Amino acid sequence: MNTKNKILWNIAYIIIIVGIGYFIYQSSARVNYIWRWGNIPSYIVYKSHNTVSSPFNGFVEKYDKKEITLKSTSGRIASIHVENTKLKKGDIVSKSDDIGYNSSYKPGPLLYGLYITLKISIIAIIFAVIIGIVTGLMRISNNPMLRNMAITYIELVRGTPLLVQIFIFYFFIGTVFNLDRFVSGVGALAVFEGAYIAEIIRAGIQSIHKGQTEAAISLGMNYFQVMKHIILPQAVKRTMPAMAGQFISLIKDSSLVSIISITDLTKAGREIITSTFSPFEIWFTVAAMYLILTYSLSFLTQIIERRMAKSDR
Amino acid sequence: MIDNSQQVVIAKNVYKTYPNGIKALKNVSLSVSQGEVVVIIGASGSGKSTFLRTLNQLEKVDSGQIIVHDIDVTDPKTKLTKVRAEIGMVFQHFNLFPHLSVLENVTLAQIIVKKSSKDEAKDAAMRLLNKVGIADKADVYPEQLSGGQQQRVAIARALAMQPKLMLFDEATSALDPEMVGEVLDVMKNLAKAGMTMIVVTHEMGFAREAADRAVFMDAGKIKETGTTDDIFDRPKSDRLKQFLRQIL
Repeated sequence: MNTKNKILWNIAYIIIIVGIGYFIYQSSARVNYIWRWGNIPSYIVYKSHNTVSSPFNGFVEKYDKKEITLKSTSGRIASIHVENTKLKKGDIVSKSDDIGYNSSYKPGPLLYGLYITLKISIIAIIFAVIIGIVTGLMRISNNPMLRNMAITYIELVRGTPLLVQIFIFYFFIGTVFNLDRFVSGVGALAVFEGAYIAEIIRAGIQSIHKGQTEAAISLGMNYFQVMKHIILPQAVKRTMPAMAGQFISLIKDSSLVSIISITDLTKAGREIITSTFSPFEIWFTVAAMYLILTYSLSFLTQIIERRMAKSDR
Repeated sequence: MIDNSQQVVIAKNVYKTYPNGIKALKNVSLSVSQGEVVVIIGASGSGKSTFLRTLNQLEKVDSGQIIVHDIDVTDPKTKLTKVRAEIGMVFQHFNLFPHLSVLENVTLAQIIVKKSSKDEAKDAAMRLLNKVGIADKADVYPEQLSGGQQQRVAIARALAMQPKLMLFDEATSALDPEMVGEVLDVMKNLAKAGMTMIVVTHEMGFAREAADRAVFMDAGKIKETGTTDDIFDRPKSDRLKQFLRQIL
């Protein structure tokens, strides 16, 4: 396609996107929805005011460079950091009077929810990879017990909905072993994604030519050495794209743990809506925050893939 | 150089059937002395590669006994990793580890199997890479090398374990014709240095120059065995005569 045509098609793309945006705006106008984007940033980061009170009865001696100097009736002197104050030199203050306030930026509920989502996802990914590698190796083992255990696990997990598994983890396993909701949620996610990662690992291992194993064992390596040094490094590299996809799935699936009252990004969004009645803005914001996580991850894996490819050259 | 009192390999009445029912080896017996170079020839499917692979138990046998360095490798109680470490094997498709550099390919097994220190392993590796004429490529990855270079690295990798026996499974068959010579030269030098070698090959030049004995296999059996001159110049069986006509 020539450059002129490419530009035309790109313009067409922009027109369609703008059209969809306009359609959404018009649809919301039809249901008399009033957009209130103004409040949304404060749910991500907000400025908090901490009032500062006087430690004793006295008067203001001076206010300079955000330091207020107070002198008590008995002659004690105190310097206090206050960013905003209405007091002037010579004003009289009583003990516990407000002398001003300091402000600082604090993460709002959405940012805190994003942090919890990230924390759940990272811990779950680590355990899912461990479960996946062990199960993947069991799956291709010659030992029927190991192989059947792996198949049973994989089929059970892949055949039931994640939401149901989270309930089972929380209400059954969590109750029996007295796990808190966070551990239950992370456990359910790790077990669920582990089954998919096991299949990815299995496919990766089986894609490595058997000559690699033969060369390695003919040098005297045992099974674990062959796996650790020869097969897994190649298999993991080959499965990077599929793995990245699975990690992205895991981040998105983690929104389901909000159902057992873990205050992740999704739950934070739901809570804010109950107090603001701005569901459209909040859900669009929540979606964008998930997108930032997942897109960063896919960007990161692209860099890693490129670097790994370079090591072959 | 050949020490007949020292048998490195003794294979007795070896049978092997593949899971698909093909009888690959039917009563194969062969002894190889210390320092001897034996070539095995035969049409594809004659069982020559299978036999070679039973010696380090890449293939299990149905029945029969194989003794390598006085250890019965067909005994299920034998610890095979130790035996395999002392048998070098070179494959048709090289099977270098693509995620490791040339140097790492040669040092890895020394470090993790033989428990050599990193420095020892590196010294040994560089000496061997020098010997096969490829020391300048120590830091590159296998896919950047030509087939002949890769195969020479594979030989160095096997030699790094200081094997007492080297097995070559059609080591030059996958090479472009102009690269066969460089690999055969390495193998000839190895033979001259007194290494015990069993070589599955179609390279008659190599066989005549370097081998002490030739073995002709056909349909899973050893049909004829003798000096290379006997086998190539005075074949007895019709099958061998026919085979030689086809390959020469």
